[in-house]
Amino acid sequence: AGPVTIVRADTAPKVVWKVGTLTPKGVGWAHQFETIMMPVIQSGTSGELKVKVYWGGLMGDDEDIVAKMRVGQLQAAGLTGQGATIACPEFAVVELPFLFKSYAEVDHIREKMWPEFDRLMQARGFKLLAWLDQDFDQIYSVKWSFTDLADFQKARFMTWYGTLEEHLLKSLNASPIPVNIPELAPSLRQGVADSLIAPALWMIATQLYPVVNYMVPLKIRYSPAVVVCTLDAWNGLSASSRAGLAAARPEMEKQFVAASRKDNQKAMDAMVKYGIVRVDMTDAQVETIRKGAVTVWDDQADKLYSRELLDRILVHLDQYRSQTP
Amino acid sequence: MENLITISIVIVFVAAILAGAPLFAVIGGGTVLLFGLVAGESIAVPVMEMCRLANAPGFIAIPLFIFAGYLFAESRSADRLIRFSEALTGWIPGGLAIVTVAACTVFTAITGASGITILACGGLLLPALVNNRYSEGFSLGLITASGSSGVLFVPSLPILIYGMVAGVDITELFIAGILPGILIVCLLAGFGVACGIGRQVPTTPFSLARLGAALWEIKWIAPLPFVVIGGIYTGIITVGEAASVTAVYALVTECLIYREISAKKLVTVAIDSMVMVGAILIVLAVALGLTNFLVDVQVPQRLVAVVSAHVSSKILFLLLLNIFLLIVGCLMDIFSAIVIVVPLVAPVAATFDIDPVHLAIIFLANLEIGYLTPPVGINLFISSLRFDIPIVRLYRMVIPFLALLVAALLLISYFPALSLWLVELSGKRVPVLQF
Amino acid sequence: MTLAPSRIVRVVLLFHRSLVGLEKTLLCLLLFSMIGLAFFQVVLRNFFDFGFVWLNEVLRAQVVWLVFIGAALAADQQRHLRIDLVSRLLRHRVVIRRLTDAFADLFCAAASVLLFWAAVQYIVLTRPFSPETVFFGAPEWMLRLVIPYAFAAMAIRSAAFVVNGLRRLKREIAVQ
Ligand code: NA
Ligand code: NA
Repeated sequence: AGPVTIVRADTAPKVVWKVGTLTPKGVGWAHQFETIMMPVIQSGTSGELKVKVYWGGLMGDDEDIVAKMRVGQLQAAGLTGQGATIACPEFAVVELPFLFKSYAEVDHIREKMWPEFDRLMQARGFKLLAWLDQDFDQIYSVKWSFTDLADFQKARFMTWYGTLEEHLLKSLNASPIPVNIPELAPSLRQGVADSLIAPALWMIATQLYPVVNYMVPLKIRYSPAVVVCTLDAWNGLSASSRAGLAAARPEMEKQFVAASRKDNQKAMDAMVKYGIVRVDMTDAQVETIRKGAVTVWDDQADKLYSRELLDRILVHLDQYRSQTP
Repeated sequence: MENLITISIVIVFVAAILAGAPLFAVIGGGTVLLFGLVAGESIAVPVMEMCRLANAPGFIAIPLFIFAGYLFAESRSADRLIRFSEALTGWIPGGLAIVTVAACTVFTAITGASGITILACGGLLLPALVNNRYSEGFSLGLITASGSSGVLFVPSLPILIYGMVAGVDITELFIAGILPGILIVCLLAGFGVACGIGRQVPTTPFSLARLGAALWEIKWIAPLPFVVIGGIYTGIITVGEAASVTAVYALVTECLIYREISAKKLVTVAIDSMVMVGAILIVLAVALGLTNFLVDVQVPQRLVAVVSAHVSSKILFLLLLNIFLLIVGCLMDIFSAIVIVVPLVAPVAATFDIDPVHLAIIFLANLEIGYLTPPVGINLFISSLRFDIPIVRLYRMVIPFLALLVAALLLISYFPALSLWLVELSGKRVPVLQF
Repeated sequence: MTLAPSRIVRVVLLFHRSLVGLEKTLLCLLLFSMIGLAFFQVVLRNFFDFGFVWLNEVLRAQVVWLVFIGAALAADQQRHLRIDLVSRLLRHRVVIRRLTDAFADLFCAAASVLLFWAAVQYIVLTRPFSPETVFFGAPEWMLRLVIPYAFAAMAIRSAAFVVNGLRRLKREIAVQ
């Protein structure tokens, strides 16, 4: 177990990490990993670290991938928002409904709170290498346009994203229908459920987009994507490599999220062009939904994350909002 | 020294396979050794993979369908079905062979795995076929082979999974599967009718009164296929739900309405069927570990790299793909085969200009045939276990059917129009979203 | 089972039989509760537009138990899937067949021991991170204990078949 070390006579020792991710090879996120993150890994560690990526869930879903890091089969992973909370439950705090209003706010919290989340990750045995974005997830539905809070009561939401999503749906009086990830498409097609909360790119990658009729880009939930490695693997790198990776990290994150945000926007536009009706709620409508949803913040405090962590994020957000008109 | 150890281990494993050691022990024990000695990983990993079995789609359906099948098989449903089939198709020479192929196809489509079909329908159809003067060998072969076309019809679970894994539109896949599926059904049923004529299977003149009486006898069972298929088509229930409905339906009709299963018998059936579930799924569970080892050391990728480096013609590639998938199909279950192999083979196939929808149909038809390819096709084991027939005898019995299916496979592989014509015609090709 | 009727052997056999009985009872309970719960879920979803998140988790845990208990019993009843090529060919060569059977059972016992050890490793390694389950908050590793149990049971049962097979062979040779 542990990172494979190959000692060569002529060059510096190389460390090979096996990296697991659900992201299929060929989608934007994978492309950005290869074109933005890989060069940073190469140059940041002066070629000491080589990564071998297992794309498209070859190593299982996020839960499997995290478990495989713990037993040492994998050294690192690119995780979805759900995976981030499996590795480190406190990450759920950034996925709280209506916490962020814009990507600018996300960036601000990322900057302020990065060391804190890194510390929380390390307490769980992982090192945060990059905090990236999945999306501001949208609501998709076969039946409902969600212009009215009553639509939530009638809708049957598929859920697989964990406790937080379940509580969010209940706070909106929606019916959560628990579905395993491989059964999402059939469940939607067969009408077991009619709605879901998901990232735009994911709707396209899973070919779910032709099934749904409405898209509600309500910014109901921000979902991060993280790249993490095990602490053992991190400590197995030379000090200079660790410093190199840490130094290159902020700029790399900026480029990465800029590219994936562009992709998300394009994905949404493509779906609208395809014929999915984009529903933009009025501020008043958003406010009614928000009021119900934010009850989750308190409900889950000191369960998934500490109240203190939530409060610190809220303070940063308040400061930021008061400074930016 | 190291070579010596490796060679001895390999010899022990080959000897164990030949001596008849349980398959789970061979695959599972081998996988633990591979992880510990070759990959240098924690031997906990294969067990972790076994636990992934629980997340497999439709997983819950398997024990429920198997139990319902056992229940039907233990009651006198078979007698009733024989009478009904005779009344319905007795006037056609080989009519029961047609019913067998059609029923197995429908059931496989619903359950997503032809292994379940053998268990659930075999118990009903085998005595019926044998009573109709078909030889035992032909009957067993027909039942073992008949589920194959089912994976190509709505609401086939492998198609749904394939669409998700490969990013191909599922509606297109269903439309694409219709003609190849009908081709396989016609070949198998035609062979059955031919054999029926050859063996001079008795025919009886058609009688509406007799059909009515037979229908009245099965009135409690007859609605089941409509409930299940109708339920899935109309979107009322999923496969897992269909399975639970079937199990409850079987319990109610056999134990409460027909009262042919006593409480004591019910317990025996439950235990017997669940031991069968354990015997089959433990192999699937350890196979997940082996698959993960192959992924870990990147065996499939290397295989694909070698193929694309040495193969230049499309025809040769398709032929090699057919052979490769036959082997994969007999080693792995269709779902893990799709999940593991599709992402690796699809890009290579794209370089040979093979339409992704066509590739999907080739894949599914191929993997399904792998299930009955000697020596290790899982359907052969299921049939062997279910009907208590030595597997070597079963090998001989399926050969003519295997030949037919391979012929169909070649037609499907080399005539893309068979898969794509209806898709083009329907105009339902969902454009790949470019952005 | 024709072992010498010493007291210890009898106690062990009794213990073993009661374990098998327990496994059978458990299989029935699991199967029928699964049918009930799955059907309950169908009714909830379709007639009341409702679902319980815990139901899926319970059902999945139940199937895992079904599979491993079923596999443990399959070892007792010698109903595991196997490629019985050689043993079928050697059907009439009693001595060779007894020996190949014994070898196959011995191999199965050894592989089961390996798998048992792997399962123990799995539990030890994942225990500290084991999430709470819907079963009254019991950690997940407790639900997974069925895996090492099943492999241990299969190891012991296969080993017993080796001993019995060789004893029978000895007796058959003595008769000849
Ligand atoms: Na959702
Ligand atoms: Na199934």
